Amino acid sequence: MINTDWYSIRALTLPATAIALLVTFFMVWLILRLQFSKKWSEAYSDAVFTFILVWKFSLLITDFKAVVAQPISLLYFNGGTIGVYLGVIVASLQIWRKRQKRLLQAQSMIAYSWAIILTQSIYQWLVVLFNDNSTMSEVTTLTVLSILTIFILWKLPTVKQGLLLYTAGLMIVAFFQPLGIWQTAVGISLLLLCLGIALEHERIKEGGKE
Amino acid sequence: MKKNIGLLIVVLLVVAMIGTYVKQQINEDRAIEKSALGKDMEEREIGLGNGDTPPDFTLTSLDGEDITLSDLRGKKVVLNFWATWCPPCKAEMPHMQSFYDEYAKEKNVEIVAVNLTTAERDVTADAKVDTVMTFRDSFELTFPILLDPDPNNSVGSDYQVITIPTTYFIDSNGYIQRAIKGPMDVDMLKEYVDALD
Repeated sequence: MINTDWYSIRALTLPATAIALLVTFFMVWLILRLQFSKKWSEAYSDAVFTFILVWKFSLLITDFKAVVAQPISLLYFNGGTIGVYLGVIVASLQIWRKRQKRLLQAQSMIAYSWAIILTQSIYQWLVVLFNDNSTMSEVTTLTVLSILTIFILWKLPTVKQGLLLYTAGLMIVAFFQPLGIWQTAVGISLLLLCLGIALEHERIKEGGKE
Repeated sequence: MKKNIGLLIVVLLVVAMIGTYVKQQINEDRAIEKSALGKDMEEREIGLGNGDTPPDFTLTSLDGEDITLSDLRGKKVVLNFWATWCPPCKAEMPHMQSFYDEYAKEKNVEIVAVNLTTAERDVTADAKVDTVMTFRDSFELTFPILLDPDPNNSVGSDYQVITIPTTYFIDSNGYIQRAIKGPMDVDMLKEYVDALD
């Protein structure tokens, strides 16, 4: 989806996609908090916090010169696409590093699937609502992702199947979106899928049930 | 039982989203119907909305050259309003310049940066121009910077510029495609210019 709207909060102007992401994080946190025990919503907010910090300050890596010349750039700009990937990678490493503590607990992978799927779906829905793109891409995004999300969360087969199915669905949706299949959202979805599969393997290796 | 709370919320969310979306679409259709009534597409209105023809102006650049907006028709125009004391404008300028260096020729786009000279904080008119000049030199800006010095007939107020920077993206037919408030980096500039006809 192409960002077409901007929201001004006093001096700060944020693209609609950034607002959508922030609202998404809060909603998913709330759902996780209600659905699972507290430690999973805490794990989620840890990861989100890491992601936001890395994404925001990744400008230091992508455009160091601008930050030195205009430190205030850090307030207005971010690391863009590279920043989003860096944020997700660092947050993923954080989740991976703490896997021992969490993996063997019941529900760990279900909570992970919920977090990943809901974050992506709610984000996509909000981006559709906040922006103005072609009707075809908007309707496809809303319907496919709604059906997919409810189906997977309701009748979640196994974690691996659920995540694979979801990412495949997202790729089909992306195909109809203006930015096409090579957009950041698809790349991120693949990264999170890999992390999910790796975590699931670890869990079974450690003696968890399939 | 607890298992269903989250799912219930998700279903409610989906219903709410789709409801909002359908409502948005209906409102949009109504707006289009209204605007289509008795209006020829060829006759665009002068205004600041998307699809409008922007108010025309002629201003003098820092180099003493007169530039008229309507003369730039045939080129895409990035029309930026700014002032030297505004931190987001300062943050944005290097990005404007590197965009200009990299893409101006390739994408047939002109950057026109209108300095809100009346809003500069020096006392005399000459001092204001000096400030703008120093600013341009320190950022090594090469795109035309226009001065808007007349408080009674200011282009800034024609364009209802309240927050700065404000940037209008004008397509090669001379219609406004988008207005952005707030600073932009190279990626954003590129994204919006690519979206222009």
